[in-house]
Amino acid sequence: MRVTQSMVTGTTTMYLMRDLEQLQAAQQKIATGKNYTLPSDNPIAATQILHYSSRITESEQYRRAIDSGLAWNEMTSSALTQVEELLSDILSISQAVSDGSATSAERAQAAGNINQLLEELVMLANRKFKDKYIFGGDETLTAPFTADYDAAGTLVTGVTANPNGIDGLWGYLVSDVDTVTINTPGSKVFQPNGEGATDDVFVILTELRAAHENNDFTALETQEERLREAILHVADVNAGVGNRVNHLESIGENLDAVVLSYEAQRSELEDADLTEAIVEYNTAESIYQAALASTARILQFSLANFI
Amino acid sequence: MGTIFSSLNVGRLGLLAQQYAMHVLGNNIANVNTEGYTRRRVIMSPTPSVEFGSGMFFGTGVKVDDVERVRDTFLDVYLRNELGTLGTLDKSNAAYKQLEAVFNELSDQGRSLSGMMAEFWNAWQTLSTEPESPAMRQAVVSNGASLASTFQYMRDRLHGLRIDMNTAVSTTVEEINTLAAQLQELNAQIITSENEPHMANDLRDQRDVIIDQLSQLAGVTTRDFGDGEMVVFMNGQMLVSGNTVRTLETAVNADGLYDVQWSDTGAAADLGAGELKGLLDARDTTIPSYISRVDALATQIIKEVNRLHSQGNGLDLYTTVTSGQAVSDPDAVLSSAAGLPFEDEISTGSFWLAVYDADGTLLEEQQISVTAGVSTLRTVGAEINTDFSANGYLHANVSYGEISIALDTGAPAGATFSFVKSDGTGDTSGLLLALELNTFFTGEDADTIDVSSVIQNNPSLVATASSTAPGDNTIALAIGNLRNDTFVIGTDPDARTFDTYHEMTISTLGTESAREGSLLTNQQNVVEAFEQQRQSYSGVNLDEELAQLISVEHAYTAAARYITTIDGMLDELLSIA
Repeated sequence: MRVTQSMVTGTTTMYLMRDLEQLQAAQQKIATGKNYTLPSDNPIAATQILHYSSRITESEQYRRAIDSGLAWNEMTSSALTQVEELLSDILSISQAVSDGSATSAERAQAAGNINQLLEELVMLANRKFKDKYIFGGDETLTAPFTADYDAAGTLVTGVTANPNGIDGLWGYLVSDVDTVTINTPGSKVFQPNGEGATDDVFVILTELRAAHENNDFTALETQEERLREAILHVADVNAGVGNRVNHLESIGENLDAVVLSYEAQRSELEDADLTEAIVEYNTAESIYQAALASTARILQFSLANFI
Repeated sequence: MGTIFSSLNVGRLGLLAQQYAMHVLGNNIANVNTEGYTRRRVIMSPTPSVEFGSGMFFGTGVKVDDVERVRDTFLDVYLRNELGTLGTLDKSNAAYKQLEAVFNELSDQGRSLSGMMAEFWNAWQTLSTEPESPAMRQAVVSNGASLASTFQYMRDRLHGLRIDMNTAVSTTVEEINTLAAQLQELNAQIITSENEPHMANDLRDQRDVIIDQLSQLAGVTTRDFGDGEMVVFMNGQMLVSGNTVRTLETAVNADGLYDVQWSDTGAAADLGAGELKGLLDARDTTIPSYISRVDALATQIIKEVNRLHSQGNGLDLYTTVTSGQAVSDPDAVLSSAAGLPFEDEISTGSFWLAVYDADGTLLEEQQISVTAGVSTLRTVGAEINTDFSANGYLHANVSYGEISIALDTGAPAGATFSFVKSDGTGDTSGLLLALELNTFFTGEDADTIDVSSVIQNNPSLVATASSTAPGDNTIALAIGNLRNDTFVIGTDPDARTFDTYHEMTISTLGTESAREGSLLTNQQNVVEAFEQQRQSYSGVNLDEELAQLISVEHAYTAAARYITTIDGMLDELLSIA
């Protein structure tokens, strides 16, 4: 084939450009640490990287929701344990003076103690976590229980629940398919069959106190039995909270594993292998240098040098 | 046998011919780097022989017949076909590269649309864990605003790309017109200056360069009628012929963009290939297809978020609210004739209005019915006023195509109202969504999307609950979980999540861009190969010219030596006398 000067100049420049482009691409890989900068570099990988990134961001949100749910339930559980202990204390105070050997004065003393612990229980039932009432249902900003006092303002005559309801449940989205109920409504703990029912803890305690005041042994026996059942009920609820904590933890562990695998896969696609990138760069550099050297030489030759 | 002077003339002709040849060589060498220059070759032939009485023929020397361009016109035709395709691919490839830059998905995931969407849904999910928190509400509002401005920014950039392409269309049309006019002029000059069989080589070189340029811009084809004239067609339509040159012009169409048409007939110019076609394709097909995908995504997000949001309560309820969308006519049927962007969403059903006192106790609630194909804004307003006439708690006012609902004189101090029945039943008619009452977003596509100003001014109105309990997070949960729901978005055949729809967009963009890129590289290689072939045939090789130079120089020297010898013979002859 006939080769002309402008062909030589044209093709050598073109190849030099291509070599330089490769060198630049290799350099970019090292500088950004990424394999691809545009979707067209590898459309399939680009879509996967996007997909994994969205999943990871989403999963991080679920992780936060799980952590927040765990904190709430641990707090609930510790409050329930205290309720259990408080109720047990009341039971033992009552039992200590419930047989015939105790005097009326001792029973009156016990009634006073029970009243005090009842006030404590109301405070415990109105406990807050993160400025929200733990047992308030979805009425999280209103105290769920209000103690009513007698004329003297010393004896608790009854406990009223928030009229807007304390039984609202709310849950968190902890994975793309699971919504887990997070709260334990006050009604479930303290008033399983509604306000004023025989198993309303506050009713049991006011009745128990009254029985001591009135030396009513039949009522005393009934209410102590009911209190025992109430303690068992609170323990049951607490166990349920414990189960929920375990459930959340296991979802969290699964989620962590999934995130790890997403991150590994994304990194596999996205992150440049530095060793490989540097080898690529060195190769491109050598090619470019060789091309430059040969170009410089070939352009010098001409018949004019010899005639 | 002729005279000795005729022998002297043979030498003279030889000198002259070699001088011409030397001149042409010099010209070739001088033009070694001239674009479009075709190397020339001197064609020589012997002058007619003469019979000198003896019946024998003797040559009389040499003459220069022509200075010929060494050119293969078939190569020109092939190359020009490929140049048109190259022009189209070049422009469409540039458009794809810019599109990828607009979507900016791999280099900056945090600020990209996919990143913004993820943050937006995260904000809703976080709000669902803390529906009482003003900070989380503010976060949802700011993330919503960021998402909206990302949509708007992308729409702006995509529209800007179309405008850039449009400007390029206009300048390319100018360029084509200028080149066509030059071509016509060259045609005329070539016809007048050529004198069979001698060709106007320089003019033809110039014309070939112009045709190459026209091919790349407009994908032209040519016809050589052999009389020196080159007739040029653009996809079968005559562009230059004889004394006529047709010009293209741009006319602003309904979209405010340029249509390319013939100045003389006003008919649309039909383009087969070339940069102009590439620009028009990118402007009218490629970029709009991505604009519509971004729009469809924004539309669906607005619709789905608003649908849920309009059925919920925030921490605060309303004392007054005005619809975000206005109807064209308050007496027009809402579901078909009132010009609402989401009128298709209106179906027969009802929504509720519930009035609460300052303590959050329900005072009155009324069901407002909506009948598709019948209800107008005025009938809806009238029903609200009739239903609430007994206590005078609420009043609706229809003016300028908007409906305002506000507490009326009968309402006690501190009263508020909501669009949700006290048992949590929300709107089943889609009217609130269509009118933008109690919605999170305003707008209908990527261009108009924004967070409703009502919500921006009071983030406590962000709906999280289906009851009035502050800890109720039903609606926030449902909105946060929209990211996992599938919808038939835009003209997509299948239901997808927002994320996968956007991933599809990026994957299509990447695939198409990569395909255009490799087509362009292939085409560049094809054009390069043809150009090499043409160069190989028509280009100047200095070594070759130098070798010729030596040969011509020797011929010249020999001819001169021959004259000296004849001169010597003459001297001999004269010395006899």
